[in-house]
Amino acid sequence: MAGLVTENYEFVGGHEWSVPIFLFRYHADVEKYLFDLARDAERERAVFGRLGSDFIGLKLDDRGAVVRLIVGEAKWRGELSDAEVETLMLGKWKTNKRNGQRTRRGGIWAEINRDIDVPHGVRQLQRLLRERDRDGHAAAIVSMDKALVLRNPVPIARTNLIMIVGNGKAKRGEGEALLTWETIPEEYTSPHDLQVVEVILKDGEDLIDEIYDLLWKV
Amino acid sequence: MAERDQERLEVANTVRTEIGIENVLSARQARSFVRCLQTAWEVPLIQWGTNESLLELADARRLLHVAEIYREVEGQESAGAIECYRRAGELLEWLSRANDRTTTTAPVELFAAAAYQLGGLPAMASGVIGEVEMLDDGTRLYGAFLRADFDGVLEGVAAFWARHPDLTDDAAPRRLLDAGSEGGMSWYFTVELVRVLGLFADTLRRGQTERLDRAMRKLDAMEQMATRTFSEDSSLLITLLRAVANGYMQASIHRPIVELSALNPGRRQRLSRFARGQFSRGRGILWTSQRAGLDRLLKETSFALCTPTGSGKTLVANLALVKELLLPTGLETSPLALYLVPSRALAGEVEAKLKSELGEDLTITGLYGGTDWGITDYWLQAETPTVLIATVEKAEALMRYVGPLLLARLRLLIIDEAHQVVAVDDARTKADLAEHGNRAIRLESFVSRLLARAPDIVRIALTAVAGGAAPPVAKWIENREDAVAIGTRYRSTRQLIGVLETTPRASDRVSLEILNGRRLFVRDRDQPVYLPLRTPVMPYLPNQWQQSLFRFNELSVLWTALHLLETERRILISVLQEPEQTMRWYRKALELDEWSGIPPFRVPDGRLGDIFQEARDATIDYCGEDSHELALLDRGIATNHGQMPQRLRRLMVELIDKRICPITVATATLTEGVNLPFDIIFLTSLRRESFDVVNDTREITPLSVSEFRNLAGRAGRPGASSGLEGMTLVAVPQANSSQRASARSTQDRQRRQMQRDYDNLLLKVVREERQDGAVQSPLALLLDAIAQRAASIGVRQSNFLDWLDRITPAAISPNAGVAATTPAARLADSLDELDGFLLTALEELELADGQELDGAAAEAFLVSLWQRTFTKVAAAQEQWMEDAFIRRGRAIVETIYPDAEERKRLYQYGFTPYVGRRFAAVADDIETILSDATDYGDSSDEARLQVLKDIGQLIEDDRGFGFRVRQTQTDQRLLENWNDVLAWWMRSAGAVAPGADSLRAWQRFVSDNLEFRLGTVIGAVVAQGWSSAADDDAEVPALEDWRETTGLPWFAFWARELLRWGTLDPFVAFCLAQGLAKTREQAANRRAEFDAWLSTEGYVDDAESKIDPQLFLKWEGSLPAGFEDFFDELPDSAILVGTDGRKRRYPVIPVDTEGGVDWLDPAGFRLARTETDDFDLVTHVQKDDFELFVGDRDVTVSRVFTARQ
Repeated sequence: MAGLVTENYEFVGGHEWSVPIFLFRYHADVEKYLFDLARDAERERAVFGRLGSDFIGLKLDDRGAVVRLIVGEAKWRGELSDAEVETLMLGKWKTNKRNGQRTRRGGIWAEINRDIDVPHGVRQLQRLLRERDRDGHAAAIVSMDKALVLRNPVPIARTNLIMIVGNGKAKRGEGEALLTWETIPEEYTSPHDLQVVEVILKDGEDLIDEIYDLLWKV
Repeated sequence: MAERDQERLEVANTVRTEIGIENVLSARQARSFVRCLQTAWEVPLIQWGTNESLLELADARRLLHVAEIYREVEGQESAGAIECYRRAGELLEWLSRANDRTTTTAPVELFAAAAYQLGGLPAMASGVIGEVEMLDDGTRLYGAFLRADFDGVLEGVAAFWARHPDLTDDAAPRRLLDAGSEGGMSWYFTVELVRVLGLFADTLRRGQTERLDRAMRKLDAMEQMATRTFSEDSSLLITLLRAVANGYMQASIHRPIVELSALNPGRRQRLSRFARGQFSRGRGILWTSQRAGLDRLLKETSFALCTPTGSGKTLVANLALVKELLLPTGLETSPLALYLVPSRALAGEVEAKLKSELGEDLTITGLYGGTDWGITDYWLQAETPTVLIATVEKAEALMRYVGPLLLARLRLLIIDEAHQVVAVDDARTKADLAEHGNRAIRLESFVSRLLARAPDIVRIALTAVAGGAAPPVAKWIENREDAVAIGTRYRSTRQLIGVLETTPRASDRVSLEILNGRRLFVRDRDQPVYLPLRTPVMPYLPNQWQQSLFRFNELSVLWTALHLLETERRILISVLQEPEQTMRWYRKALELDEWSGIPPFRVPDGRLGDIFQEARDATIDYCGEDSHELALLDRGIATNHGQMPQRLRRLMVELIDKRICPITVATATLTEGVNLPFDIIFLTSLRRESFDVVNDTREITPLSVSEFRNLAGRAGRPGASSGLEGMTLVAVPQANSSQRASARSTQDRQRRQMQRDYDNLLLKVVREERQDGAVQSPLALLLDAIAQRAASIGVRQSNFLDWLDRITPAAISPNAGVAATTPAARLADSLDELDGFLLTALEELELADGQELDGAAAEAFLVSLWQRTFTKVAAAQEQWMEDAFIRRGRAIVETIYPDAEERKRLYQYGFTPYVGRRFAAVADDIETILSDATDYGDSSDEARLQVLKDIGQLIEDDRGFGFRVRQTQTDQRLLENWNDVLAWWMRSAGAVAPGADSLRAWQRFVSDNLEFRLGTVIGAVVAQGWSSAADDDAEVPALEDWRETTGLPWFAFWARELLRWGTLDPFVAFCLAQGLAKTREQAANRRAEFDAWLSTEGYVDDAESKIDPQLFLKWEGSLPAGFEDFFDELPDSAILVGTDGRKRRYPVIPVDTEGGVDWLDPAGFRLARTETDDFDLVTHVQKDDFELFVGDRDVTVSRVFTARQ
């Protein structure tokens, strides 16, 4: 959905985005099956580091090189209540065992603010480009090589995307936004452009199921 | 698109140059390495921040990415890719071993291992995985896969199916897909991954290419899916797994084996089983050098193979044997291969390995004992293809006995450690040449002659990576100017060189200076890496001992070594000379009260304990109850030196190899002889000192660089987790050990000298690493020595050749042929050595042709022989050398030894001709003694001993062919009283045994003079007896004809064996040789058995019968064979469960379930079941292969491949 929206709507900066390949992404904690070889291992697996952006899109110049990235988090919530959105953006409450203090940890703002220059997932995207059409995407591939491995590469410009999808809360008014949009939200400290997309649905689950069924039809 | 590829390559090159060049470490990388070492050694850590770990991790990722670029653009064999993979592996390995907290989604070790595999360093991959305990099943599974442990993969896979029986029906995958639950996709993927890895491992092992291809394609698809669905690191892991799997597929041994089978389809099954067996031994995936070698093998060319120590050359040799001996059809005679080894010790090792791999198909005989052909002479007449393993000396003897026969059957020549043909250009080598004791020239001589006479046989030279020797050896063996050795110069483990700083009253400190041949720096300054050890401080030694700095140094090394044994380390303390002194010091130190706190040595249980006991018994037998060797052995310290009796040496090697003894004290013979790697090698001195009594001079010989490098090459054990790097440390004291003012200046001087020795050596090591110097051939060295010495006694250069035409050794010096050291004598002896080379070659030709040679014919032959010498291809030699060679050769036939009969005799004796002439005088007398010994079988010990004494007496005074000792007082006295030594060695009743301190001197005398010289002399007479009487040179010598042909009694047959084993009773020698007893005493106790058998069978009970080798063999054959068949070969019956069985045959793996065994397709689908409580699921059953057979009336499962225990 993020890809569809990105390609078809106009985003901040007016760039023309192409999402040549869609990456699917699963939740972090189910990847641990790979290592536990079990679905319900009791032991807590510490998973460090970012798992990767949910979504990456490219802007290409005439020669096909990558000049801008759009990188985003896409989240689904069954009910987009205020509290739910707050937790989503600011993180869950966690109690510090030593001094009993409660702080919020995690959340989309935190993730997006501290991201590294070249987001995770670019490598995979490049790989898929190579797979799909090595010659056709040659320029993009090389520019991604440079971004990924050179010590002081020319940094690629970037737009951050936050996409929230879900069923609207019961008392939602028409056109009511979940996040501030007239000014840059103060929680956002990253220097890159920010684009927020909110997709408010009704009976969203049915739509999702239908889409997945379509994909896995053999 | 070519253009973009170029750009991509440029990007790749930038990164590689920055952080990936082999052996060039950036400051941070070096610090990471140091941190890793410090963690491994549990010493205080260098400063390091989390940020640095992240940077290293990021660099590793960059390298992996760049490696992929190289592969895509340049192909899989891209050198740039390999370099980057290796460096990535290193960076990740160092983080892992430093217990770094910065982790990725998947354990860092997995990435490191994958990187190493893709970089062609499988031993490192295996080591890295072995380093860590993997707690998760998944991680363990991938770890097993990444270290090519396919048995382990199947174990993991089977365990998974045992836990998830609901997933083993063929509708299971669909069910998972349809479930659509949270995480369902991920779980589906995981299960499929288990399926594919199991299938891959099984089909790879079995060599089922079609299904393997399918598994590979599935893995390809899964990788594509992972890239889309998983996070960065997980998908990277899958990508790497796939690349590694692809590599395995390409490098599987089944591939070349299939090609080889095409030569003889009838053998296909046997070869396939061989290949499967290699997987079973963890050697199913070939190294690049092995693949190249096999490639050449298939193309029927000769080649030189260069591999690091302890790696793949055995396989190549084995397959060469298979190809040349097993596969050919329609041959006239049963084929023969000659496998030349440099030492008896190595011969034993090679024989054992070959027998275990190919013993069923080939006759494998080791010829390195006392007799000149094995007592089991059946190989000579054998219908089965045969491999002869021999040292050059034995091969020479063989040629003398049965040359024509040998050549008629010979198809393959394998030369192990072929670089030993290179001579070191120094005074000592020249002296060795003059004293007829140089091995290199013997090798050159034998091989050159063989190549000249049998130019069409296949030739393979195996060399270790020894600076510069490989190219000329390749040229020599291939007989091509443009020949190039196959192989790699990459070491399979890392090598560090440094100093162990020993200090009184403080813990030792390790300083590391060289990593893989280059200086190791931490910061860009000249600051070496330190590992301040946390071992306890060595207690103050008794005053007397502290006066000797050298003694203090040696004991410090022992003390430190004893405290470094927590991990599985194997430590060698290498002693350059006088090991008996070191052994004595160690023994005394271990007896000190202050040293009693050291954890005592525990003898292991079970089979290892048996081996220890056997070694202990042999030690008592050959060294005595009071010996240092025994005392050290009881403390878990093995010893080894060149004068040790063969049998004991081999047992010690086994103790070391199986780490029953973690510490070894040994001289260089240990490391030269056998492939025994160590984790740490300590050296306490870098020089050998000797005193020349005759010339009253002290000679100091520093350890040569090549010897040092050979030694250092043994540090590091591929595949062992503690062996990721090998260390060679030279002990240098940092302070004086003596407190006395009077000793200060002496000890100061000694310390400075030791430091200088080390610094000098290091300079040479680093310098030589960078360039390959020219190599010296022994024959060229000899010719050069002759020319130089001739010039020094006034022979002008222009007259040199004429001089060679007529001069005899006797005319040069009255002291010729007695190993005298005057310049004239040396010249005479060097000339005699050359004459030996030439005479042997000419005589062989004469005997083969059956007609007498004249000068012209000799010349023609020598011209062709010269072309095949190593000298021809080694460093530039000058024309005069060839001229000298040919002129002298011609002169031998025409002038110097013109009598053809005499030449033949001299050839048969085996000495150099001038020495041989002198020998002729006593030869007849010796023959008389031998032929008179008809009563030996019945004689008393005293009488038996007397026979040997009589022979010895004839040679005791001749320094050419007779006894020879060093100029020390001890040795001179031994020479005077050699009868006592003989009595002790032969276990004569009442003989006096040497004290612990004199033991080695006695052993040396036995080894040099009794076993070798006395034995040689007897052998020469026997050989002469045989060849003069044998009518037909192509005749096969059979035991039954032996006495009649030689005209000698059985004693003469046994004499050399008696001297070799140290017994007066041939029966004892026989038992020991055949492995029917472990010690001489045990063998003696079996005498009664033989005697009883003799009378039961009704043989005549005369003196000769009592020692008749034919009867011994018969008796041996009558003993019950003692092995049990452990495996129940009956098939198990089964019921079909998941299949209709229409394909009739299915490979399956067993999964242990309640009440029985499920038989699953390796992809995890249940096919059949056997209900039983009885199935003997021995652990590690996954090492074997099983097949399900669906017959018309029944369904069974059979074990179709059994891994050797």
